[in-house]
Amino acid sequence: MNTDEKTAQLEELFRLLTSLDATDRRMAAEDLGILADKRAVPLLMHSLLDPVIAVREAALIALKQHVFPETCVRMIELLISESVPLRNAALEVLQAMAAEACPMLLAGPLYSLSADVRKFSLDIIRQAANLSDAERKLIVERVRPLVEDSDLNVAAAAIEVLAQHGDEGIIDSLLARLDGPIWLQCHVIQALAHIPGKRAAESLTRIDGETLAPVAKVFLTEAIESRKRAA
Amino acid sequence: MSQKTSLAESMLHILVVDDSQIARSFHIAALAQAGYACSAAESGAEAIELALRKPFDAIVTDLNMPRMDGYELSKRLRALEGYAETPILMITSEREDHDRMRAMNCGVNTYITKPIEPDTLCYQLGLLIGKRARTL
Amino acid sequence: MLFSVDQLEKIRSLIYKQTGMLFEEKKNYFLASRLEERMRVSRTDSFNDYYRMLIFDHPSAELKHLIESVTINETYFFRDFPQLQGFAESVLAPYLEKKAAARDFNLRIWSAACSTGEEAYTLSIILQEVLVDRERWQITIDASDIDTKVLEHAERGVYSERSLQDMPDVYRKKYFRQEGQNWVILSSARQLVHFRQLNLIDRMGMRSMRSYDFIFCRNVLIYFDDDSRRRVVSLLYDALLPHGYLFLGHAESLGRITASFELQKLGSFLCHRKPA
Repeated sequence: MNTDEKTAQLEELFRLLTSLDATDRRMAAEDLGILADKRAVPLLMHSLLDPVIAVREAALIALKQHVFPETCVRMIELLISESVPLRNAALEVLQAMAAEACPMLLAGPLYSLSADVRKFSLDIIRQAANLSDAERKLIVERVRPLVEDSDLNVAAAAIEVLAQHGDEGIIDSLLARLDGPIWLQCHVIQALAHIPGKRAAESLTRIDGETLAPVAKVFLTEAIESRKRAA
Repeated sequence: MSQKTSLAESMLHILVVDDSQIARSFHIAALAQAGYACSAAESGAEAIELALRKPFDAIVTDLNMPRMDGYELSKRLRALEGYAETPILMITSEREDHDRMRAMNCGVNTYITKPIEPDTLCYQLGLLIGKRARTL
Repeated sequence: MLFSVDQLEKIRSLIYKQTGMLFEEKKNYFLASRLEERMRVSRTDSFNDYYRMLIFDHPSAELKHLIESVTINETYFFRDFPQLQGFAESVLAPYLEKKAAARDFNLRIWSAACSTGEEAYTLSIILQEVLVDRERWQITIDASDIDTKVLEHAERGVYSERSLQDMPDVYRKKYFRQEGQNWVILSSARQLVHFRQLNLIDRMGMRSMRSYDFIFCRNVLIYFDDDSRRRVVSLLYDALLPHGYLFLGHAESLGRITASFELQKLGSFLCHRKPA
């Protein structure tokens, strides 16, 4: 399809996206997702607040298919929106294009004064897949300090990111947080279950279960079991 | 995380709703320690479906979930047959008083802020369930 | 024929005294259709005449017949389709009543992934049994499957004894004729059903399906991956009328896929309704 045809098709879909008929709107959102043309992003963002659930869902799925830096920029802006549905939608879209969004997040939102934004950033970064070694290293380097974040939920999210992307190098930082509340202990233990390599497995077995609260002990047992299963 | 759930009829059955796997495992481990049987849902929509299929004695739900948050879930649960009085405990990272009001308006009985201590969760839930039992 | 609320109440009360079975008011439509049928068979013209016949003896033979006809729905259906009973009693009857009150006598049903046609023909039978004043209704039952071989089988409408093992004699005699070891569906049931080939993930084909009151898509979505399942469900959503129903397999769930349907509990199963 040449660019003129594409533009014409887009315009028709834009028109349908604001139709009074909900089925038109839903199908238009779906079709825009398939076309995945950048120009559709602002309009699809509007449809995130459509009164009909099916249309909102279609718009969300469509946005996920627009994997462009521009989409990431707009979605990151929504992370500080007053509207909870928009924030959540932005989070979900960014998680679907996490690798694309990572560099932007690492450069700013990760250090936001808002604990919520720091946490959102971490939740997105955790989803990034197919990363190069360099990209992974950068993530670990930038996220590691947040394990000591004053907000415990942010610290926990940071631990989850390191569980996903980290290697043996971060084990000590993680173990240091076993002195925290049970919530953090469980995150540390689960992280150690995921980090590749013998050192992580050994550090699990070296944790004295008797010093742990019952819930953390449950996590420890499961972590050790899961490492055995993976071996 | 495998979780032993007893089929004994005398056990109270709690539905834990949270989009985070680790949070679900944590809350279920805490509740299981206190002798509750638990089921888990990843989202509000899933929670409603489970709640319709079987009756739960209480709901523990996170506030901040995608698509349907804890307020919305609570409102919808209250509208279901048999759930008008079911204890709902919400886990939130917010502390402001106006949120407390909204939680109450949506039918949430109690909320606790995370990160939670297992004892706190079980204590608060126990209070709610005890309160309910006394009014029956 | 229409019965007044009082008349139906009298019948309900009689049945209750005789059997202890209480017919809820939402099943009035169903009760009315059975009543009309019994009046026709017993050749009574007015409700009062029929009612007198019912109470003449204690218990009267006719009351026994009436009771049998309202309880026979327990085993209307093929054992593999227990949900259809709930559909007929709890969903179909009130739905039809609402449509009739709005003078809309169009009913469109889609059996998606119909395989060899049992579900589609069963739906046809149910409709014929439940509908009062059948002639006023314009009924379409579309049945589709991706596999042309099973569609051929469905079109032929020839079934083995095994397929009909839970079919009550009354319906067997009424809707089938025997041919050797097999049973052939009669045109009274057949005529409402149209078979076509359709792939559930074919967007173009699926988008041509519109304005259905009920869609049955049971135990087939489990074979799709999450993305395809989501796609198919949105296409089924589009194909439904507002307030139309989607029926999935008993254990199937949409919770992880979409929140766009309203969930309703009917007896022990869930069904999904498209919002207005």
